[in-house]
Amino acid sequence: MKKYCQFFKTYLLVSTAYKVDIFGTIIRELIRLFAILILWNAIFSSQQLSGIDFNRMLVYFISIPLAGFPSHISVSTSLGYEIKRGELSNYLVKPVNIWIEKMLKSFAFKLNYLFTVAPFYLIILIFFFPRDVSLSAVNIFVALFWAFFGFLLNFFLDMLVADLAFWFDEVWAFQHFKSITFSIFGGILLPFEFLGRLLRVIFNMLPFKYFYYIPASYFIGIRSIDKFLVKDVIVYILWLVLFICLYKLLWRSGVKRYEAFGN
Amino acid sequence: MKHLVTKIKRYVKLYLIYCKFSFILNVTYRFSFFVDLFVEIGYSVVTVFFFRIIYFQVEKIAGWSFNELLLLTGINIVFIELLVGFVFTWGFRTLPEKINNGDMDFVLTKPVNSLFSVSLSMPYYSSLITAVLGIAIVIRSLLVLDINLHWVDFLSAGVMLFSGGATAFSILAIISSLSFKFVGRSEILPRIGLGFLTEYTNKPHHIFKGFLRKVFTFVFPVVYMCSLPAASILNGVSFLYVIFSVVLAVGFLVLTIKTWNILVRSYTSASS
Repeated sequence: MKKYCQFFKTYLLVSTAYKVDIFGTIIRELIRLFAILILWNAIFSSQQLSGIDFNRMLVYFISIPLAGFPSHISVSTSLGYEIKRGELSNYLVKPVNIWIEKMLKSFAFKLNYLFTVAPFYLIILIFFFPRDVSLSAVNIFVALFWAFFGFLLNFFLDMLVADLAFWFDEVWAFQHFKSITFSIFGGILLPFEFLGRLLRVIFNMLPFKYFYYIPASYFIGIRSIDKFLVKDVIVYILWLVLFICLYKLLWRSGVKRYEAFGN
Repeated sequence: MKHLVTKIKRYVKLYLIYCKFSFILNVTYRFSFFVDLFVEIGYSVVTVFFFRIIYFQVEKIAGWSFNELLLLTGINIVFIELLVGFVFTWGFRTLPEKINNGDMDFVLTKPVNSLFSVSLSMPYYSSLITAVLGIAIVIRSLLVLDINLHWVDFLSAGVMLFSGGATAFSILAIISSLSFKFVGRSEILPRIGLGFLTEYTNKPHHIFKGFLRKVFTFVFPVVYMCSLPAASILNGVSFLYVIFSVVLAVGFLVLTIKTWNILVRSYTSASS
């Protein structure tokens, strides 16, 4: 346990070492958010679309990065490179469970984000929050609940992607493939309410909604707790179990064929 | 003059060697190459998908119909993919890593301009090939819209695209070169540059109103990169825009060279 605490402390220090990364992340997200708001302002032009008005849409897109930051993971990039360069050997010879170590690394970076970047989003949210949109404590609690569990699900998905490095030369393309998938199926581009009925059914069955759309839509109340919560939990558990099983299977097979070239 | 021509010939020859070497490297691992290509196409598909879904709900966005916006999207795909392919992926994106690892030593000690070396030494072919998808979308839009393309409008669009490309390169170079001064662990600064360009060049310029219109026309001139060329093809634009785009491009390029030369002096080797 002590060794993992030390890992956590070290990664926390690493995450705060380069201030430009923190400020850069804030600036990049603000650029993106501003572009989205300008576009949606032009799209809406004082009308409702799919039962959502501009004010709720505004809150949805501001809460997307807040909802998504816990679940945003990029372990696959670093672990993928470690496997490719043979640096994984450092972990295999040590009495360290690699997925715990990677999870602690993610936690450390999330904690840093929570205290440095997230407050900016909260300020923007409070500043731009429309008066006619009301939030309930229950919705906020449920959104936080999903933000945490979204992290867990995305973590094991990312570890799955990292395992592909045992078979493929580069995994960074799979990281981008994830980004594309999340854009469409995760609700980053637009909420599911804009989709046709068939697409909505398909999107609801996939796991990607848990990373952005589910926390954000519970937060602003466009997804009813009474109608969807139990269903969402059941589907979530099924996907989590599947990802964990697949990750363990791929990891065992991958480590058997692992050859530490260059290390 | 003769010396300048010799210098240009030398850099052209060098660039062709870079292209050849990069192509060999890109296609060595065929599966990775096709996965990369699939990813690049995926980003373009996402953009088209997004606007398709929105246009099921609305007829026009800022006065642009779906097919008009598709024309803009096609031009934008070509624009961004060429930018990403020629100067970003293995160019500016790798600059922070080169600075952190001390690999800039190998760039700065060569008898080649460092900005040229960093930005153009390794084209990324998956993006360049994906630009063909953008061309296909443009052609499809032109056929559906049944546009009688006048050569003046086409030339105006071409000049603005080229100038816009030079301006985009400059914006990307200036923001990326800040990595010399503000050293980071990740490639955040080049990504800010590219993020800015990708987020604002795919939007019709009519959505920018008032003060924003002035900012994106004169300060961060994204309107010249894709939207005004598209508008030129659709309806024609004032020749002043064309002239101004060229003036801006030249101005930005001069600023880029000066900024790069100043900031590169901040580089300290990481002891290679």
